[in-house]
Amino acid sequence: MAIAKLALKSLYNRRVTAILTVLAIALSVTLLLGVERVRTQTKENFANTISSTDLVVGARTGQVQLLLYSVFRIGNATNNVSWQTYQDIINNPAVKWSVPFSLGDAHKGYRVLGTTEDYFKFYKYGKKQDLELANGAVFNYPTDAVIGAEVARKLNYSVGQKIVISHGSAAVSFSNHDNLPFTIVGILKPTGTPVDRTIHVPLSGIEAIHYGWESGSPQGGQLQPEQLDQVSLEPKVITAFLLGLSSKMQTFMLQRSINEYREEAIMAILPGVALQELWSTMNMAEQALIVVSGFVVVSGLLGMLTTILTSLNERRREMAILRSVGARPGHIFTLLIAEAGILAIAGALLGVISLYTLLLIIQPLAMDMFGIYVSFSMLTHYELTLLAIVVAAGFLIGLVPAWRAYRMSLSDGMTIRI
Amino acid sequence: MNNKTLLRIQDLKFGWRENQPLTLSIPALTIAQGEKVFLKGPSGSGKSTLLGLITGINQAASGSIEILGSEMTKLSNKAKDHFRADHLGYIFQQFNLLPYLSLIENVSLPCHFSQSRKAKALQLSGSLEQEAKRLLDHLEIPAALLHRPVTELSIGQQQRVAAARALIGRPAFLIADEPTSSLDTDARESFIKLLFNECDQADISLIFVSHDPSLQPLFSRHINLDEINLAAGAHNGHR
Repeated sequence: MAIAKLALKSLYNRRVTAILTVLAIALSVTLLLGVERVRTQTKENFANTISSTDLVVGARTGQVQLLLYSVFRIGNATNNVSWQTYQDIINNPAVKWSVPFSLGDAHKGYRVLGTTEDYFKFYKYGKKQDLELANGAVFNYPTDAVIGAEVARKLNYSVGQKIVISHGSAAVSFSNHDNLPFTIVGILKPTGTPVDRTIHVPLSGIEAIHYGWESGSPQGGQLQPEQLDQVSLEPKVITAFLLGLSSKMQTFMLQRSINEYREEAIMAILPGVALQELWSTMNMAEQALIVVSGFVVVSGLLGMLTTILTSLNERRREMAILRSVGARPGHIFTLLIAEAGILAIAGALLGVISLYTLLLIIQPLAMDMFGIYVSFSMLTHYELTLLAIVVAAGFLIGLVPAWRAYRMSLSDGMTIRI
Repeated sequence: MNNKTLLRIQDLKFGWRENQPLTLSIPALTIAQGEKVFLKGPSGSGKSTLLGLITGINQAASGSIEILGSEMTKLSNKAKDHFRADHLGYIFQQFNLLPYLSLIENVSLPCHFSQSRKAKALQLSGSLEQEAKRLLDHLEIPAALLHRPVTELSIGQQQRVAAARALIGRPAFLIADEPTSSLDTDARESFIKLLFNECDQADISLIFVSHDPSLQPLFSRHINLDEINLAAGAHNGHR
């Protein structure tokens, strides 16, 4: 009978403590892998938010700040960019395409983004994926709106419904642009990015609802729907804009010329670099999480060490019997290592199983509550490495009781003490 | 019974600590192969120490212990382990069996640690399981008990299973360390008779340790440790 089989049977004989030990290890492994997964997925989600855009331009501020309010729709712009400046920059021969953003209004807590049809052509997320419509069409009239997947789902909106936009970005606003209700003409497919939580309207629509608001509040003379054709709806300011260049080589040159733009204090950022900086600010929290889950694994394994060590004294008879039938101290050593190894491997396996069970439960919730898409993918190379480390540590920890049992079996021999 | 020597002890001296009175000092002791020896001595007389020396767990201070022609005091620990696995069967006072193994598994256990015993067992019955069943049958363990957990057996039955385990693969000799002390008188005699039968059949020597004089008449040879041990008496007060 192989020693491993003997170890299995011996463990089965002490199954209550063995199961508890395996559970403790499994729990810690689930936590470790879970934290790791949430970390990488969040990071990936972040990185996936914007793709194919070479520069993001906005009023001069911090690059993370600009990225947050323009792309992630978190926080507000400190200042605007004039339409004149926008025109000036996109006329640069290096610019292939541009998408203007005008932010500042909301509908029931969802940000309203004023932009152009080009947004649906050039804005890309994930791995250069295009935005796709699940329903309806792209806007082409000032009071048309295209809504993100989450907006449609949460508010139960469908194409053809009318919505009223509120001034300001708060969930509850006291000044509504109810003179000009918008009609939903399209609903986008889910992307797992802030696009899902955005209501897209034409720049002219943003201009129209603020007609007569020159000083920041309604002064009378607001437009009515039938007047839309009678006034010029060319915007005077926008919040930010995305640029795509005809050649990547020109990125830094254009960035510098924008940063040194004399007429207005604006800046251009490379989204990839800003994402990195944004992510590095979260590094501390990320590291702390990993360290904590690492410690949980250590405590799980220490628990195993304790159980095996305390069992040793009760098992001196078992050792003496094995010695009396010819087992050498080396066999006793292997037996205990095998035992620790079996517990660690079982713990790791159960940990993986419960991780996937948990993912199955959490996946819809995470998408629903945080808009984070947690993928149900195979174990990554890194996760397998982590598992291997846990199992190796289990075997390594097994050395302690194995060594003790080895010493004990040498000195006890076949005398049964206790 | 032949006249080959199983065990020859000469000028054996052993003390637990240096510069302290010796526990054992045996000028000479010889046991022939096939002999059944009753080793007696009051508790604390050094019986366990002597067994430790014979099995190679304790290291003699001086003197010689020769078993089957091998000088135990000169063997490495590893060699002693192998020697023991191949040539010795051992029965404890009680709780001999591993509770997590079946009867058959318990009995065939020694064959997993000794190639020669495995070979002999296979030669006898063709498979370890068959040999274990044969021995259990000879030791009057009912076939109905074979698939019961070890813990459901009576102590007498457990000791007989332990005897089957010690006998499997026909080791040269068997040490039984007070194997009957937890049995009642009837069970004692029947246990010893069954053990004798098997030992005779397989030409296995038996060293039977006990302090129960009522069993003595059953044996052909008696050794009183106090009589052969020159260090006797020195420790009797506190060991």
